[in-house]
Amino acid sequence: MNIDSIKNYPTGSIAKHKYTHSNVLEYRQKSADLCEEKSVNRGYYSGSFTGINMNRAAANISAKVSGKSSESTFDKILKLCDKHTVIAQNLVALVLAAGLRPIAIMSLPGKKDKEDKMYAAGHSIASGLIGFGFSTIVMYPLGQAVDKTKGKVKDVAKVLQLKDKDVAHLTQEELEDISRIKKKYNVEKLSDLNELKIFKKFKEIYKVENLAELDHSAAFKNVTKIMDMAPDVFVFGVLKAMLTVALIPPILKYGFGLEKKKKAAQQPAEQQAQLAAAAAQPPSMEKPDMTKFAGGLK
Amino acid sequence: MNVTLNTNNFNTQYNYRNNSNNLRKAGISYNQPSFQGGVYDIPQKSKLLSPFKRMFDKVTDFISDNYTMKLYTSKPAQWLSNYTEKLSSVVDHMQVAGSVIISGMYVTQTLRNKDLDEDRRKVLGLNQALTFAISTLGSYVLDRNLDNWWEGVTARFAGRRLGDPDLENKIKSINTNIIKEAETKFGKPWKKLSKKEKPALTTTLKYVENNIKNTNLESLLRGMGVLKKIVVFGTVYRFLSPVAVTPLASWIGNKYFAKKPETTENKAA
Repeated sequence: MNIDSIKNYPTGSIAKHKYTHSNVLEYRQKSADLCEEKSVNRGYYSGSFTGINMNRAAANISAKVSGKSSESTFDKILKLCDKHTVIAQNLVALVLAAGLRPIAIMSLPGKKDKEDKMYAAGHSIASGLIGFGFSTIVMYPLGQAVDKTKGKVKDVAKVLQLKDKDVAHLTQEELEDISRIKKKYNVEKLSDLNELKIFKKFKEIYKVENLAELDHSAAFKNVTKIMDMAPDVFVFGVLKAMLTVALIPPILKYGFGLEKKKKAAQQPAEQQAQLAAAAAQPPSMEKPDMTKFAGGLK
Repeated sequence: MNVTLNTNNFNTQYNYRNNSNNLRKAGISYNQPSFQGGVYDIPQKSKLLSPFKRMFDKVTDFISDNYTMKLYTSKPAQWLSNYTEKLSSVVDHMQVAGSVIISGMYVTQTLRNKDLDEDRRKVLGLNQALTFAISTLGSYVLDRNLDNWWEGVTARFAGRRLGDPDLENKIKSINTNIIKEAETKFGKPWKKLSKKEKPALTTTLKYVENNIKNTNLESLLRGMGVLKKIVVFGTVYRFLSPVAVTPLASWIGNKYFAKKPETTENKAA
């Protein structure tokens, strides 16, 4: 017997004992993976899990998470209203147009045909979905960009407030902020920031003496809202209406099991026309197709 | 005949027959890892989407530098700033502007619809225009009527957040003083003062902006103002208008504007 090949499968011990675990969950996961892995020698790799210290874990988790979870849902909605007004507006519209309005339309007594009601409900759902989907996808980046611009001006305003302070009294973080802003706007002194054209314009247009007051300027707030909402209102409004009309048939089909009846109505008419046309033609003397079939394999 | 000699032995005991002497010779020491409990670092966010987040960050940075920053300091922004500096909010007007465009589009489509009779087109177009007009008027009236109540809600909300249950009364007393000063200045009761004579009253947002600076609360209070307007205008435009106003507008349209064609038809007949 000849041996053609020798395959040596690496059994390579994946059980490395000196993990640099970044966290305990990762550690636990890896430990669990090792238990799953049949090739691992349980003989020497017998990591003992002595149990999680629940009190400590709970305290740690709450400390980690509470910073964010302290923000209630209502707070999140309010922030959404402030920063992404268009999305909040379309969210309200979604609840009303895709939830309450179809229910009201379908439950209202009236002489209207049931299919008409379904069409109205379908239109409502389509408009709610398109409005929210479109605004979330298209308007969210724009909203973020507006927020970033405000943040950039705020950063400069924050640094400018430090210009009169003694350097010795500044924290490390403040010093880092100052050098970052100086580098970003390519200025030597902080006071030079006031001379930059862009910030001069901000103060002039929104009628504020210093950039720190910009957020409280009514004109700035209103222009921000217009900038945030204008693309959705003036540019995408008509597009959304067109998309809504396009979305109605699938909603009627899959949501209400209703399909266009135009074709069904046309069929008998077409059939009649064909029959009439056939009747008008003189009877053909040609043999039927079936008789042309010769049969056999070629 | 092909023969493959598989040297792999899946018997774990065979592979890892590591007695302590062998290990010591190899200079390897295996300490039993023991988990003593404790949470060191809980992963908060997945890194799976980080490339997309970085890309999104770059895109928004680009938009911010090349679009919004320039737009903020453009001439149209200057014009808007001059016209809106005395407005308390533009959210309501922007929603109306959106409704003007959509309603206008529907009215134009109806008037151009060749499948309908000319008279029917006019009646339907008029119905749509009436629906928009009644809804807009209703929205503004409802919004204005809810102003005082919502301001109270906002003050109580801010008071709770600041741990100051008396905040609502503080703001009320500030406003009472403003009203009294204006009344003595012009010698007329507050309700009879013209718009120009009436000084601006303090709102919760203004109070917080002036007295409690650099808090998260400002954003929340601005959100409160926006929330009321989008709920009021949204409810009227998206719910009340199609459910209640459209039948009303149709009734008005049919009663007052659809009469003529009927009479002419009758005459013709």
